Amino acid sequence: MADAVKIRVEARDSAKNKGTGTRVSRRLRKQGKVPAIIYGHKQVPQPIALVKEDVQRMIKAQTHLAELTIGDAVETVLVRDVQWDHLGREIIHLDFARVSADESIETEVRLDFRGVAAGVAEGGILESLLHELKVSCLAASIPDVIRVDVTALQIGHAIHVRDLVMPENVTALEEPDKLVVHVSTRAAVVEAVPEGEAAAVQPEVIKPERKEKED
Amino acid sequence: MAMMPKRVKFRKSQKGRVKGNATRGNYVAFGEFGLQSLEPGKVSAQTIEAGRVVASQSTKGGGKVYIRIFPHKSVTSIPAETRMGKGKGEVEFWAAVVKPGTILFELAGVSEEVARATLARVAYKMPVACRFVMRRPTL
Repeated sequence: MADAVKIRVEARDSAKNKGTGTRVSRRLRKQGKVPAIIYGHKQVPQPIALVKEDVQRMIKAQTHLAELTIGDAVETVLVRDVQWDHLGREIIHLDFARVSADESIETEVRLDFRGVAAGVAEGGILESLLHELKVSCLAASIPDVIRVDVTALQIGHAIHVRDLVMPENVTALEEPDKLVVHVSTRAAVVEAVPEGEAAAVQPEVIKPERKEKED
Repeated sequence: MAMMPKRVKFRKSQKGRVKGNATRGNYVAFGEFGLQSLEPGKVSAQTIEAGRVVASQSTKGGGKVYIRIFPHKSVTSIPAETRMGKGKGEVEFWAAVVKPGTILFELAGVSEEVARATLARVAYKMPVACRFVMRRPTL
């Protein structure tokens, strides 16, 4: 697992609605900061703001944990939720949950498909149906990725959650029969249907059921 | 064949305006690459079909194409040289309402190079400005 990213953040004054709310968040974003909140461990939620570059550093490091320095205090946190703008270009808000190293947590870990499937060389298509896996583990031992070796996959073969090689002390929380990746046969190329051939069918209109009079 | 609903409560709908940004269906969920709308608009069932055909032909059947929009809205029109009145026109086509951020198509099982080339060809068919997107990073 990667080390927790160390970030210095500033606390927002939550008294009298000065540190929270839409206007404050928008002002922070204009200044190149990302509003966030820390909660958990039955403590009072703490609104904070962090610099955009630090968020980019977290994305680059692909780590789940972060060590946030607020004044003199240091909090170890787990990224619980990420809010993106409508185009998915920028992060507009982050939720951090307080965690301790020996605490059992549930999180999602990215699946990393390694190798070229044997079926792909024969003309098949490698189709991954699961990109992240929900796991349960200790906060100190969250794996960065779970590697899935697909080199042995032939056409029609699949890897299920039960087949995954999990790191030590990490348990998958998905159904064991859930499909992770499979190699399917190549689909036929779709030809354009001439306009005349497409029948002008109209959808059926749902009519309300008539209530029979009870007389 | 062009897509349309199987059953509807009302055959004709009011025109409406496309307001706001996409808050749902605005990230790549099934494939690895996607085509995202940058403008509001309506994409007709015929255009969606054209996009599907061009995506299939461009990947030569080598990838999986996901269509993330569905034409739920009927668009009516009255024939040319018709006098005013006599009620609403007949259903001309079905369209999907698209907001900025909506993912229109997704691709899986192809390289980034092929996906970029394919989705550029699909974007050329679309009535709205689009951009190529990938899966969001996990934190």
